[in-house]
Amino acid sequence: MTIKLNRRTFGKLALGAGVAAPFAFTRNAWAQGRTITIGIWGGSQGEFIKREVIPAFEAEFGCTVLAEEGATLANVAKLRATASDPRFSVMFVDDVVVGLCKEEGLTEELPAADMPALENLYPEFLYEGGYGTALGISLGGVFHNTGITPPETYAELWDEKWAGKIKLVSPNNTPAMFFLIVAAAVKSGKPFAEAQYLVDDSFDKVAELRPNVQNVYDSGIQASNEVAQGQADVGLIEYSKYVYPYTDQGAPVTMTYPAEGAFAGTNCQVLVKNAPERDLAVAFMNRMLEPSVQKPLAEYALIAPPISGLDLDEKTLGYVAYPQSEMQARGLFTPDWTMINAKRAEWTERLNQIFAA
Amino acid sequence: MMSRARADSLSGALLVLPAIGFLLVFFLAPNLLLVGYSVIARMEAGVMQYGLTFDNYVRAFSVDLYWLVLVRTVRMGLMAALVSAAIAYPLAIAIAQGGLFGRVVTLVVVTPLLVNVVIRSYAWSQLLSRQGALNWALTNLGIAENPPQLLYTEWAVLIASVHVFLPFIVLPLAAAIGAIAPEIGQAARMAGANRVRVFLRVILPLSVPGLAVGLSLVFSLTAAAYVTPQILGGNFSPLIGTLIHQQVLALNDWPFGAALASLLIVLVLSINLVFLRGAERLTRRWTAGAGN
Repeated sequence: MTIKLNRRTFGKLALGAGVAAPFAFTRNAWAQGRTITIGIWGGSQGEFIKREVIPAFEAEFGCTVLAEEGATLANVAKLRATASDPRFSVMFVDDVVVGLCKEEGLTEELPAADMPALENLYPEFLYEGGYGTALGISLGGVFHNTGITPPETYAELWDEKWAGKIKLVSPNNTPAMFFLIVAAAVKSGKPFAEAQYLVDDSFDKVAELRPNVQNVYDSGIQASNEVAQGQADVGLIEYSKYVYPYTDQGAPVTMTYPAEGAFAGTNCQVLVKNAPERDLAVAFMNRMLEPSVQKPLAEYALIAPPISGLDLDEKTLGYVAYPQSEMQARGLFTPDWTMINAKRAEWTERLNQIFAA
Repeated sequence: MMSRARADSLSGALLVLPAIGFLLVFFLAPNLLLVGYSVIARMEAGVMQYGLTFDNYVRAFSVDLYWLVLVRTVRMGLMAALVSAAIAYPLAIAIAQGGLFGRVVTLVVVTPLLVNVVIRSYAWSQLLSRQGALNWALTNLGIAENPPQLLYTEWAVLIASVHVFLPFIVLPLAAAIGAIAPEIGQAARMAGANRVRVFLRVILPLSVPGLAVGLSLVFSLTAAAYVTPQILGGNFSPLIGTLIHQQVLALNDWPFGAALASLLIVLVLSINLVFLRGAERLTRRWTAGAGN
């Protein structure tokens, strides 16, 4: 439907807005003048949330939303540091730590009755019995310069033709755990689901890759830029959300998903325990799940929405696995984070011994 | 009635009190807390176990990774200090001589301090990358056909550390050289010493106190650096600061991070003490008999 805007229609719209405005303000009067602090991600998701979502929410509720950027582990560190006197109300983290945050008593169960947008959420994206929801799903795989022929399997990357041409993700970042699973899968020939339990015996395979690794990077955004510049041929393993925005802008970098499989990188939101301005925080979390946010967020940041019923544009559908049937068809793998969280310090030390000693 | 000397000493002590108080609260207390934190808990299978323990120090010494990184940290600090000293002497002499040239050199040395270290490190990453300015120049001048990439090596960390911390050695050296009476150098020249001999027998010995301060500053700043090694070392050559950051922020292992930080402090303090004692001895030896 299109609306032809002439003087008369404009007058009607203005009159309607004038009549409706007091009701809108009355509806959200409880939030007037309040402030919440939320922890968000960087990159294109953070950019969109700061530029589009927060200003609209602030205007509608008459409140202030302060956003602080950070990666998952840094955001968890902030929650731990402020646990006795919470400063954040909502925190964005990856699925890997939603259970950990619940266990440590850093977060609380979402009040489903106050979040009508939960109705559209695919059930598998409600975590830990309601302690967090997904906000977007990226694909974990290999990023590469478009000028090269990408590997068809992960196993190929151990070939000496890749010597000095690979950027490897740092153990500070969650996708490094995906890499360890890949190494175990390459060594054992087993699928990711089984290989994840064989990582302890696969560090010799990890060490064999060292001559091919140019550097171990911390920033996925910087690494994908460097691959686009041709400083390295490929990078592994990274979330598509850091790469596709550059691909979409015409940079010579894109993702590939080798035959062994792809990983699911799920960005989530959690409600901080004893959150300041809890009701406003819940309203913000609900807003994040509404189609009015999810559709443009998915199309801007090129991530799959966790809710049903969205009609994404063709371009976005080329980059993301959506809807649910497409996610299932791609067989996106989510590791056993409980097991990995218990092993992470030990595995990090062993990775450091190979790459940093 | 209080003697004048006693009154002077009392007023001196009173003047120093605020500084001592500041250091006690903001330096000593946090460091003691840090050491305390390293012995009250340890991480086991991702879960913190509380109780008095020295396991964090046992781990730091028994896993070769941490020992190797500590040695690398000290080596990098020493190399940066020595290379900086070599570059700093001509600059400090020019500054000490004053005049327009001296003022220009001061400006050139001090101005980089106005630029954030993150920006300077990223600038170096652009210069030292595979397709960066350095390799471009080497290739186009026909010096090397396919020069290796310096970025993400210890060399990159060393080059940038020297650049970032150079002012911290040039300025104390310039102050020490400026305090040397010009007549001493002139007398040496009249006695037949050439410039090199004047430098080795007059300027170097008499500037040792400034050199010691500069070496100590560059060494300490390099050893404790995080940003430059992180951006330019590519995690292949991390210094201990990178591992401390990883333990605290990525793994939530504060006690082990505190143990590594405590070891770093002890190591840096010890080496600084050696620097200062060595400088004291050298000054005493080189100036012995100067009054005869």
